Amino acid sequence: MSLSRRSTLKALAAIGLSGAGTVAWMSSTSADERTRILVSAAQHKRDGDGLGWWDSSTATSRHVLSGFRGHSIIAHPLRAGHAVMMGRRPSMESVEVDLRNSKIVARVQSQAERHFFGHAVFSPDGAKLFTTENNLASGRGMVVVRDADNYQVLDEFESHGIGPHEIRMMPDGRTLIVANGGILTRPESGREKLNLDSMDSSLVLIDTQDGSLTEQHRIPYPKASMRHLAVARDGRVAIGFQLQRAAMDNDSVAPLAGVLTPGRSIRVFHEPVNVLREMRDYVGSVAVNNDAGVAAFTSPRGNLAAFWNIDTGSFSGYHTLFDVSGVTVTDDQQFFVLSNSNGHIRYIDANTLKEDKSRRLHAADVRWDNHLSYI
Amino acid sequence: MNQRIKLTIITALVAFFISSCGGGSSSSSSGGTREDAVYTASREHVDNQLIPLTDTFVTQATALATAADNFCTTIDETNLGEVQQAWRNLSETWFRLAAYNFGPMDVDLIFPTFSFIDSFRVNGVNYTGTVRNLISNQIAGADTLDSAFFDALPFTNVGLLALEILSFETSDVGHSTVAGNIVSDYQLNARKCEILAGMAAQLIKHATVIQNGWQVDFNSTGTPYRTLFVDRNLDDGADPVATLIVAVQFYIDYLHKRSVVTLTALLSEHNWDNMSRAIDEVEVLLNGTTDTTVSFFSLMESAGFQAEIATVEGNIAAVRAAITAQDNALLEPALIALDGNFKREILQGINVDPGINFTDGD
Repeated sequence: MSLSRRSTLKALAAIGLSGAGTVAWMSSTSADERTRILVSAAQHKRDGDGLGWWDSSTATSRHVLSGFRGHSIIAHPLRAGHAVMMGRRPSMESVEVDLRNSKIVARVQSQAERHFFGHAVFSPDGAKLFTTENNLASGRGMVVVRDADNYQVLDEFESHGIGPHEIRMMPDGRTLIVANGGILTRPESGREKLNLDSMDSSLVLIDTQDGSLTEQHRIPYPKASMRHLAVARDGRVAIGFQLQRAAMDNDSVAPLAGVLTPGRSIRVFHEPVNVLREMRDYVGSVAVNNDAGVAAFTSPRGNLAAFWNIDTGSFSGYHTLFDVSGVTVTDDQQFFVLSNSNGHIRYIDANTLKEDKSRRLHAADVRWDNHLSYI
Repeated sequence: MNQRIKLTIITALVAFFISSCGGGSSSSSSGGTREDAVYTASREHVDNQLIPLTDTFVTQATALATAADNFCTTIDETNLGEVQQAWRNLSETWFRLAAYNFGPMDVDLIFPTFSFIDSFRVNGVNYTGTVRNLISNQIAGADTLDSAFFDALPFTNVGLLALEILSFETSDVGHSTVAGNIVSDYQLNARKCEILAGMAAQLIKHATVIQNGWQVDFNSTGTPYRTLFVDRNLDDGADPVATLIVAVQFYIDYLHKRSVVTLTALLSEHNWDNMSRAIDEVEVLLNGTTDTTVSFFSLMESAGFQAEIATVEGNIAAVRAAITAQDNALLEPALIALDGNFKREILQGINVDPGINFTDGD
């Protein structure tokens, strides 16, 4: 609602939709030389759901329609310029997109009696894709292993919990970390939470060789659903929580973030209460800046990103941005990058936590969705 | 012709005028003219209602300080009554202004201005015991009760609650609310007047921060928040209309979730009057003032949302009935229903998007 008619028409003309042509920077540079780009599941206000990205060569956003709402996006390790967008819970579909040609090159369906939870990770050698999924018969969480080239299912094992959400690879390249949100949902009841009374969230480390559980961690807040996480290069894991307030018997402010050092228990961040209150029980995404030792936690309900030092556990600062959810870190670790559903992208200096306003980007007709990443 | 019909006709004319001039439209699929009318409604609400409230709040805070000064010059029941009435006026205006907890009121998340006025709003905790301890300790203490002392106090110690306790009860363990006893308490404890004056001055400071932020300089930007709001140039990238509507929705959510009517303004017995002013403010937001040319309700009506308006009005009537009956068992469900109206019917009726992540994150 913030554009003039003239600028809107200009923006619409600049935004390419599905099949609208080749992105200039991609066609003119090799995969190795290319600049990494910001991608996100996105809704184009006129055309609908898809994968969106920021095209720095034209300073506009681009969009490939998917036909469903996506969640996280990861770079395909075997095919430069390709990304995999996972379907949002309880989607049974995900897609591989060729950003060079702005088209979907593969549609990946979940197996019978399974649906996706919106997150996935590739193995370090690029051979396998691990996805978090729901076993509809048992309600148990699964990690499904696919061939990264053709998406054929190779194997699957339990996530050792219910409602596995974000999944990442640990620095050893062998161990997965999975946030079991603990909340049971089923496709026939949509996004309705079916087990709030008995929900059991845990953070688990799983050996990819045999699916065995190597560590399982819980926090002393039984109605906190651990859902999103980011792994630092030293193996520490920043975790964001979502409180199920409707299942709680009090309105006390509770922690929404913490850090796990494998082999130890999760350290939660209790302060500052005023900031936690403003985050309104919800963290949407997490990112870690390795050089600064700071983790970012976004809260679209609170319209802010909050930062904690993962070494000391101390609060580092915050940045207010309407409906902010996506967050990632630049390759040089200089900035956190935030995105929101008004199409804004902002760069926050990782050391000062002040915004570099000269870097602001805006895609007026795009709603950047839950997660932002570089590919 | 009633006010709503007049506004609906004016709304249609405003929309036609904007359309004819070809200006101000946007990319919204809903069409630019209606969108501009929504902004007109929000701008008028800010200019006709919200900003005048910030002025009134400062004026009434100053009136309370003056009444306190008079009382401490001549400590008697008449002057105490003036102090108490000034507090009631201030509290009622706060329950109107508190609906707009954004911009200057909460720009500093760590030390938000609103918390120094209304400590209960922070987390629904009643800090009466904390304030009573401060007062009794300072009456017996020797600290210099200057502005530096009050500036250093945490939010739990100050604001409307502290002024209510100072104005409506004695400082002894009996906490008598009898006027004669309160007067005697002040006569016996000279430092209590210093505390009253200091707390009143502190509240003027915080009221002025809100007024100044809206009208002069927001967060040291050199620009009034009003300008940023009207120009649709909020630094947090928010749509100003969404900011306004969501803030009021959060306020209604707070009123029922924290059982405000059963836990605040009890000493003054002004809890239900405060709640009346809160619902008055919600109605003004939707219906406008006598100076309004485009209200949110008139916009909804011109867009065919008559049934939704009726639903909202029915829930407002239920809130009013509960207030009249002073029945919290009736009030809470009525507020919950109205809260839901702000999340659905009103957002839909004026076509405001609070954000996909806000409404449906994962």
